Amino acid sequence: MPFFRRAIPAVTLVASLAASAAGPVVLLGVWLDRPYPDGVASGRPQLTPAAAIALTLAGVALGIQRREAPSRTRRLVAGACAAGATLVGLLILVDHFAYGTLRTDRFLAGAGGTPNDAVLPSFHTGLTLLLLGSALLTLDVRPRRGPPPGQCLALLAGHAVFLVLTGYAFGVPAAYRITSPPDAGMALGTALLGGLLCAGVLCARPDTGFPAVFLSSGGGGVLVRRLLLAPILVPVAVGGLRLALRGAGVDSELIGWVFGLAYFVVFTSLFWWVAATVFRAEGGRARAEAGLREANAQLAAANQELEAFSYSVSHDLRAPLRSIDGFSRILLEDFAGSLPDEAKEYLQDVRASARHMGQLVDDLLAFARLSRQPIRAQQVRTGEVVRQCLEELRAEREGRQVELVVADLPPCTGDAALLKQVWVNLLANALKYSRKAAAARVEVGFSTAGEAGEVTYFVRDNGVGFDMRYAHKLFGVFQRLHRAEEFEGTGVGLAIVQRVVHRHGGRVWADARPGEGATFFFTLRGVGGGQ
Amino acid sequence: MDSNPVEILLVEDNPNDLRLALHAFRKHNLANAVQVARDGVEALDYLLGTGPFAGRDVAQRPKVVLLDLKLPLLDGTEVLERIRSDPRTKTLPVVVLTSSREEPDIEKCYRLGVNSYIVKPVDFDQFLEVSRQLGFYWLMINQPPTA
Repeated sequence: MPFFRRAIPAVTLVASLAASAAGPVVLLGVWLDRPYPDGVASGRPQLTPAAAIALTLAGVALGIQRREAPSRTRRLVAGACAAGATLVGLLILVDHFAYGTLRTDRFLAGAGGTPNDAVLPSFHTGLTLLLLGSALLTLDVRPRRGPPPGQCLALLAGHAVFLVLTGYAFGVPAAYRITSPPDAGMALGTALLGGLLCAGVLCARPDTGFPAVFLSSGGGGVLVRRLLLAPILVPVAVGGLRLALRGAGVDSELIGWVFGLAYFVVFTSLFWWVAATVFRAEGGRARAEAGLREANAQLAAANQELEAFSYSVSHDLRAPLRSIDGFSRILLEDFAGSLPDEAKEYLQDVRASARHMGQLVDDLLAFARLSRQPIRAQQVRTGEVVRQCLEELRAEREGRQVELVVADLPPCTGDAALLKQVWVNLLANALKYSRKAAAARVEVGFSTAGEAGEVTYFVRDNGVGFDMRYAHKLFGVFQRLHRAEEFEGTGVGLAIVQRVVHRHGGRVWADARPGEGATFFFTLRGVGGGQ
Repeated sequence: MDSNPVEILLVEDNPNDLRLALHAFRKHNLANAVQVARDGVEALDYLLGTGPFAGRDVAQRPKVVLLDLKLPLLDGTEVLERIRSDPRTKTLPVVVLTSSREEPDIEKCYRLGVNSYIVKPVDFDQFLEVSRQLGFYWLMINQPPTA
C-alpha cells in the first residue's frame, strides 16, 4: 500500500514526459527525411506525425494537470492541449471512414517528406486519441454519484490499447489491424504511450473514483488489489503458452485439457488466497471492535459515576452550608443583645465563609457541566456578544470611569452560549482587576495571521496585572494570583475560559506585567472536530 | 372546621432545613398555617387521608405544597407523580423547593406537572426573601382551584 501511494505521482510524471516526447521525436525523423522511426520495411503500422503530435499534446495536458487545482492560466493551456489531442483523434476517425482523403497523416510530411501511401490512419488510433483527449478534458469533473467520467474514458482507451498490445505480444496482426484498411493499424509506440497515458490519468487523481477504491485500506481495496491483475495476466500468460505449445506441435486436444486444468488451479488458488486474506482482516477487525465496545462501556460507566457524583455534590454539599449560614444569621439577629461584638464579628466571618463555599460549589458544578454539554456549533456575531456582555457587566462599572475600546470584531463559529461565557469571564476580569486604576481602560480587539487568516481575539486592561512567572497557574481550577482581600473570586473563571476555548480547538494565553495590566488572547479553530 | 386551616404543606426531612424554614415562616407570620410532613409517605397520607390521617377531611386542601426532592421512602418526584394521578389532588398547586439545580431534575418535575421549581439559596438572607415571596404569592395573590 505505501509503495503504491509513493509510486503514483511518478506514474503520472513518466506518462506525461514519455508522451510529450513522441511528437518531437517523430517530427525530427520527418525533418531528417526518415519519416517513420519504426522503419517502413517492417510492414508494421507506423507512429505517424499526426498521432505523435496528439500524444505530445495529451502528455503536456497531463503534465500540467498532474496535481490538483492548477492555476487559471495552466488550466487554460491544459484544456487547449487536451482539446487539440481530441480534435486530432476525431480527424483521424473521420479520415478512416473517408479512406484517407483528408490525408491527416501526410500533410505534415509536406513536400520535404516522403508520402507513403501504405500508411493510412487507423480507426483504432483515432478512437484511442479521442478517448484520451476527452479524458484529459474532463479530468476534474466530479459527478455527485458514480465514477468520474475522465477516469471512465481513460479506462475505455486502456481497453482498446490492451487489445493491441496483446496482438503485438503474440504476433497476431489481426489484433492491431482490427478495423483498418489492409495496411493500417495502431503502431506499437502509440499503443505503449496510450497505455501509459491511461495509467497517468488514473494516477493523477488517486483520491477519487477507481484509484481511490484500489488504494483504500478497507476490504474492497484488498480484494481489488489481489484480484484485478488476474483477469489481465492469466489470459495473457495462457494465450502465450497456447501459441507456444501449438508452435511446438503438441496435440490440440491435450492442449485443451491442460488449459482446463490450469484455469482450475489458478483461479481456485487465487480465490482461496483472497478469501483467506479477507478472513484474517475480518478477524482483526472483530477483535478491535470488541475492544472498542468494552472501552466504550467503561467510559459510559465512568461518565455515569461522574454524573452521580456531581448530582450529589450539587444536592448534599449545599444543605449543611445553608444550615451554617442560617443559624449564624438567627444568632446574630435574635440574640444580638446577649452577644459581645467580637462574637458577632466571628459569626459574620462564619456566614461569609459559608456563602463563599456555596459559590465555590456552584462554580465547580458549572465547570464540570462544561465538559458534558455537547457543543452546538453556529455562526456567532462576536461584536454583538461582546456588547451584550458589557451590558450585563454594567454593575461592575457603576460609579467608575472606564474607557471601553471595542474593535469591529469578526464573527466566528462555535457554541454561542459557551463563547459568551468566555467573553463574560474575560471582560469581568478586565473590569475587576482595573478597578484600582486611576483611569481604567479596557480594550477588546483582534488580529489575523497566517494564510488561513486565523483570528486571535484579545481583551486588554491597564489594571494590576500579574507576574508572568506564575502564568502557568492562571488557568487552573481554584488557582488565584491575587489575595481574596484584594480581589474577590473563586478561581474558576479562567479555567472555564480555557476549557471552552480548548473544546473549540483553540488556544488561550496571557501577557502581563505587575502594575501595568494584562492581555488575554484566544483563538478558535471552529468546531467540527471530534472534541 | 379547624379555626386555623392548613395553608402550606411543607414536606422536608432535613431537621436543620426544617427549623430554618419554620423560622422564616414565623418571621412572616405564616408558621401557624404550616403542616409539616417528614417524608413522602407522610405527605401522601396527609393529602389523601390515609394512615395516621385516616378520617381527615381531604376536601380541606392546603393552598400550596412545598416539596423537597430528596426524601426518605418516597422521593419528591414520586410524591409529585402520585399527587398528579389522584383525582382529589390532581389540581393541587405544588412547588418544588430543593437544593438541586440539575437540569434533569428540573425537567422531570415540570414534565410531571409541577407549578414552580425553586432552588434553595445557600445565603439565608436570600432564603428569607424567597420564603416571604413564596408565602405572599401562593397564599395571597394566587387563586387556587376549589377542588
